[in-house]
Amino acid sequence: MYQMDKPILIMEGITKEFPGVKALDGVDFELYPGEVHALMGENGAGKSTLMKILSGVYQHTAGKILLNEEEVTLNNPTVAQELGISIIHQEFNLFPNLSAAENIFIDRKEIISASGKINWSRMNAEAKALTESIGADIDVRREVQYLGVHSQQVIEIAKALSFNAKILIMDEPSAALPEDEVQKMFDVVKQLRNNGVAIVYVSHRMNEIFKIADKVTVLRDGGKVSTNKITETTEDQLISEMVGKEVGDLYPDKTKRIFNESVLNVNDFDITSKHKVSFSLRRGEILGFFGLVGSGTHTLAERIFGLKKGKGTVEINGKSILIKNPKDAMKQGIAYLPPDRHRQGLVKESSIRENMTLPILKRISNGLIIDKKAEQVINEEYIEKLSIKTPSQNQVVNLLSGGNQQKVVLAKWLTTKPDILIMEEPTRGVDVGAKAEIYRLINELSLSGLSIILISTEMPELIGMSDRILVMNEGNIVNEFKNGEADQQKLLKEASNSIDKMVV
Amino acid sequence: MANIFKRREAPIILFTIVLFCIFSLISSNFLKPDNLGLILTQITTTGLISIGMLMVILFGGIDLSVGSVLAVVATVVGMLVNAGINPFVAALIGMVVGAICGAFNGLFIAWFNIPEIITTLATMFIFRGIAVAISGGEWVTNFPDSFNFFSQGKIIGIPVPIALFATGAIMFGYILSQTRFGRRVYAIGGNKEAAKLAGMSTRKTKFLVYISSGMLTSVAAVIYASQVGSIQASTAGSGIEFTVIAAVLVGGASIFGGVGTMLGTAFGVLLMGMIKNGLVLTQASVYWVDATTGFILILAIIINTVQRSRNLASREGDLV
Amino acid sequence: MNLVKEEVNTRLKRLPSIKINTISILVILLAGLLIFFSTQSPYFLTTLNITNVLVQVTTIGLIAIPMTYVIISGAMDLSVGSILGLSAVTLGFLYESGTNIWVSVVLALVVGALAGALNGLLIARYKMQAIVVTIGTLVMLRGLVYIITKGKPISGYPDSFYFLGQGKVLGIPFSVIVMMALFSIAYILIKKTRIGRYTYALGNNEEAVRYSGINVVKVRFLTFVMSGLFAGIAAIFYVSRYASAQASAGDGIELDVITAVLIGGTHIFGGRGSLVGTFLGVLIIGTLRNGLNLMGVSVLFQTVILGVLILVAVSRQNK
Repeated sequence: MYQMDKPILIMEGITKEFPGVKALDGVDFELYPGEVHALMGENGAGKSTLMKILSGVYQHTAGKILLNEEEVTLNNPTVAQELGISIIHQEFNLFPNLSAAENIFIDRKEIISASGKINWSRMNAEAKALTESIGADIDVRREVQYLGVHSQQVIEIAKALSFNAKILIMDEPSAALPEDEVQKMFDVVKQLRNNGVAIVYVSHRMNEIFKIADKVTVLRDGGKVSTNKITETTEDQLISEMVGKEVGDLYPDKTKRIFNESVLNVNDFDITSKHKVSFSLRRGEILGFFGLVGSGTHTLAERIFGLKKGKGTVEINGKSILIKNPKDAMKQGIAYLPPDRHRQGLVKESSIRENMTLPILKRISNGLIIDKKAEQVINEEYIEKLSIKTPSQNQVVNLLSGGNQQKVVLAKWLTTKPDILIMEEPTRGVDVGAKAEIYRLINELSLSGLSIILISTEMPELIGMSDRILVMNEGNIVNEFKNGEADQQKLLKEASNSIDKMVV
Repeated sequence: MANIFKRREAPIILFTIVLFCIFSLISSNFLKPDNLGLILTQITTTGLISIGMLMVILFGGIDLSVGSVLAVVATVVGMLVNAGINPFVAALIGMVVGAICGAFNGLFIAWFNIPEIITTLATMFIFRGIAVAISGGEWVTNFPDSFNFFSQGKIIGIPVPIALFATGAIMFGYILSQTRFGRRVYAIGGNKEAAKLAGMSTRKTKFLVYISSGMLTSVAAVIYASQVGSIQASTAGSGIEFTVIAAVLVGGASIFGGVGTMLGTAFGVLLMGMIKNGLVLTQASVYWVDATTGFILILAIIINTVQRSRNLASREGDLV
Repeated sequence: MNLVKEEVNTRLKRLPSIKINTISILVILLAGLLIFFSTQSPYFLTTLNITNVLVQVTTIGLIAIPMTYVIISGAMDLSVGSILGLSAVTLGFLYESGTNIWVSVVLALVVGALAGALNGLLIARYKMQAIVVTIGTLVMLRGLVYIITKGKPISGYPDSFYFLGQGKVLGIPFSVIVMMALFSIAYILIKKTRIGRYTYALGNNEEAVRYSGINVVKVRFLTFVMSGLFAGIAAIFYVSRYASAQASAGDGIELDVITAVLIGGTHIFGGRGSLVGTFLGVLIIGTLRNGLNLMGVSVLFQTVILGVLILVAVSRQNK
């Protein structure tokens, strides 16, 4: 293996401030040629901000970046690319209608002959050589839309290499891959490392890190916690570094909760044609669901709420119910707080009032006419109940803070007076203060007898809030943790376990 | 042989051949050389315009104003030759006028970000009005014999309209498939965001496409003026945009952008021309032509959408 | 971190109070037109001419009502002119072949609604692009119209039928009363009922509406059925007023209708707009066309002005 002793990249005291938030605070980061350097941290720890600075998307507010011992300014992604820094995002930026080779070399002078004609044979040959250099066998003349996810990733990597990338940032590279293709991706990464490329490997998945990385850096709350050789650290150590001290009073006391009879029974319920799940939810319970991207938690939520069509019935209060659409689900007292409030949760151009009553307009109408008075009363009630900070209920949602926006979405679903509330990522993108408030609200709701399914990728949240946690992996529920049994390490292990079996 | 069937254009080529056989069986006049020549000459106008339309549709746009651009250019060129200007010079001036019309569209679409459909709907009426204003509402007719070259002349034995269409199709077929500019058009239509990330200027490309489209339409206008012999600015080329859009879509281009070829479009044009000719020959009322065009248009859109959802369907089973 | 940035940006972006601005601009524009044309022609401000303008705008006015809904919901309907033509010749054809005139009227309306339903089915249910689908039906239905009539106008209807387009109630043309009534109902529907809420929300964020458990397909489908039905209603008045159903009826009317809606402040990408604005837009177009007619400006040149108006109205929205 080829390990040079001079760093190719030094990031020194990198600080990034957004209005009102310090996303990064004096982070140091070094990268050597021919190493795979894992970057870990919880959501919001600052990983993606750091990588966006390195790839020229963001500019740091303080600190400096040295490339081969020379200070550089990365004003935009093109500059970074020309300096040999490429990033492969979780979502690929490919042209589905063009061939693999063309995707790699699109709009590049190198493949245009003097007459202005594209030199197809040269382009295809170079594309083939590039993909082969990382050990991949792809028909580079095929259109990308007909290629698998792994091949698409290879094309992204080949594109980066065609710019002579010396530093390659891979953001959750296994997230989009089916499990049998993860090993292929590892082979590609190893090949790159042998070719002397420095790789920043951003991932949540512990087992991957130990399989592929040479070093690992952990970030937490915008600061660097540690950099270690992978051989000199352990999973436990990394997790405790990522999590830090538990913020004790963020989560309410859950000992007072009482659960009664089960309200929702799901038996052999198809979430796709290939995957079935079974579980039950009791009245007043908060049932947590944990799973990595692609584990099926989101699909499950959409199926139960009727947004995704499929087969199978659920049992609600002892009655077997077929849910064909959201209307059916809402009739059964099911509500669903979707993960993306900007796209799915809110009509941001409309007022709080209009958003809050969107699902219940029929109920508050006299014939066709909306009862404005009733609407106002409902709004006043929930604005107060959830302490939404706003000058008036006519305020356009766009102008509210993230926390208050999220409360509007929550209020919107509470107005339907649900028995079962499915919440997905209820605190995504809200600040700590608002988080604590939302947790308090969720707790109060469960105390008042609401049954809650809490789907989240934030493990502390799940552990702090849930009475039980079910872990999903590849479309199956793989384990159940009772209150007090779960910790982050166990959750992660269960959530990424099957990949382990594959590889070993 | 096997390769031919793999090509994306295969269905349209096959369909054209089948229809050709059907019409030959129904009408004995269809196969006569005169009639076949007539079809080829008739499709040159729609053919030339469809080249520009293909490029517009390739990056996900649409152009409703082509019929009006044709009217403007035909009127201008007609009046110029009647004023004694050399037909070739007049034709060149016509192309400049066409390019200006295209630039006007491109300006509003690429720089002011007004949706294609609204811009070209508006300019469809604006250009039409300008054409009428230029002509003063009068018929432009009685062209000098020298102007007949564009409809009846021959270059190395090939009728001029056909030669011009063939040249245009080959030239732009080459540009689209072999040059950086052409591949940009496909790239932008395939994934606009990725195109921007790759450093392409979508604005500039769009602008150039609209200018090319305007120039191609003006060549069509010159042929049209010469073929028809008399131009009424208020009706010339009216409705041609629909035939052209139908031809491009039938030729395998996708309304969602990024997909389509010059070869497919050429067959689409041929197919539409044959249908028109065949319907007239079989003595169906001329009115059937419009209804059929619309029906084919909707059919093409349905096929487009089905194909697209089938492509997306493979992702359906995935877990999220 | 993206979210943080986004939030700051949106907080800085003050939402413009578009509605009040647009309405007052439209009123001033209309007043300006009235003053200008009255200086150009002494005939312009006579009761007879004003009545005339009002009767003339009923066609575009009626179609502009559902078009406002369609555009606010984030779609577009270019086929309204052809649907008008189809309904008109259906009426003529049925009556000519011996059907009772009022039965013919009802069936013509049904045909209009069905044509709208075809659009709605393809667009709402099968998720096809509204613009392309309605271009397709525009061409197809117009072709059908010519096939039905073979290009000949169908005239000669009973006197009672002429009341619709030519009769008056208390001195006000009946068609104008109907248009005003439908505008008022549509106004109430969009302002005070859930149909209106859904329409706006659909244009702003279709996903969020779907995630709120609302049947998005149904709402969108209905807007297109309405569009077809109203084109049918407009067709009835059209045939009654001109005493004949021509194949060319309603040809190109989509330009007038869409211009009226867009200059009325309805946003081309949906989510914003008002029926009051549309109503003023309709009046402005009617006044403009009438005034220019009186000044002897040709119809084609009038469309140039409409085209420019569309471009100006939409450029204003993009700022």
